[in-house]
Amino acid sequence: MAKVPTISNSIRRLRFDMGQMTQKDLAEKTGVTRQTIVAIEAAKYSPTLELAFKIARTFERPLEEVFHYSDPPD
Amino acid sequence: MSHQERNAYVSLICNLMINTYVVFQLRAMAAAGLLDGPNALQTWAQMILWVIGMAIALVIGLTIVFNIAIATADKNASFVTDERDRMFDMRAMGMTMFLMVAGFIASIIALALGQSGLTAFIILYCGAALGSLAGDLVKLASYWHGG
Repeated sequence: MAKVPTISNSIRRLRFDMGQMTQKDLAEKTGVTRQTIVAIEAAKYSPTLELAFKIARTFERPLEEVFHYSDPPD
Repeated sequence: MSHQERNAYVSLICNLMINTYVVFQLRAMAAAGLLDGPNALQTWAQMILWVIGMAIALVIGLTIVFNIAIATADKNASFVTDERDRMFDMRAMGMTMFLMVAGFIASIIALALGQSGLTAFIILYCGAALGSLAGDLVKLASYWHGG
């Protein structure tokens, strides 16, 4: 049975809203590798609070508009 | 592929080369009768000291050569290390420590069961070697999985 991620994000949509920003551009702006951005977008890796704030600040959006938490199903 | 993932491959290759060398050396020493008698532990320790020095030089040398080759082949290659790399490092370290401690306990058990000091040291070395190898594999598996 597939594990349902409890933290999702809108990074992919926000990148396109920001004029087709590439994963590499976002990685350079936040000081991480492109692979880390790929993993975050795919909800395979949950970033630290520090990186989450950096990503939100890059998009000039509040944190909760970029990352969304939902309770796992019972 | 990130900088640290490339380094994990280099580390895995070095580990495999060193461990293969140690296995062949031990077999040759056993065949020559060097692992019997009062000087067996001293001979084994001298071989392991040589291997440790060789392993350090090999890892440093291969890492430098590999990174120069990558930087030459791809001018845009990234050499950034981030929090995800550090998390995978910690995960790998946990596995390495677990197997090293298991090797230590196994060597103590071997001594308690009346085995020789040489056997205990070989078990101890095997625990460390397996731990290092498993640590690299855990790190690579983390990179393949993504998180």
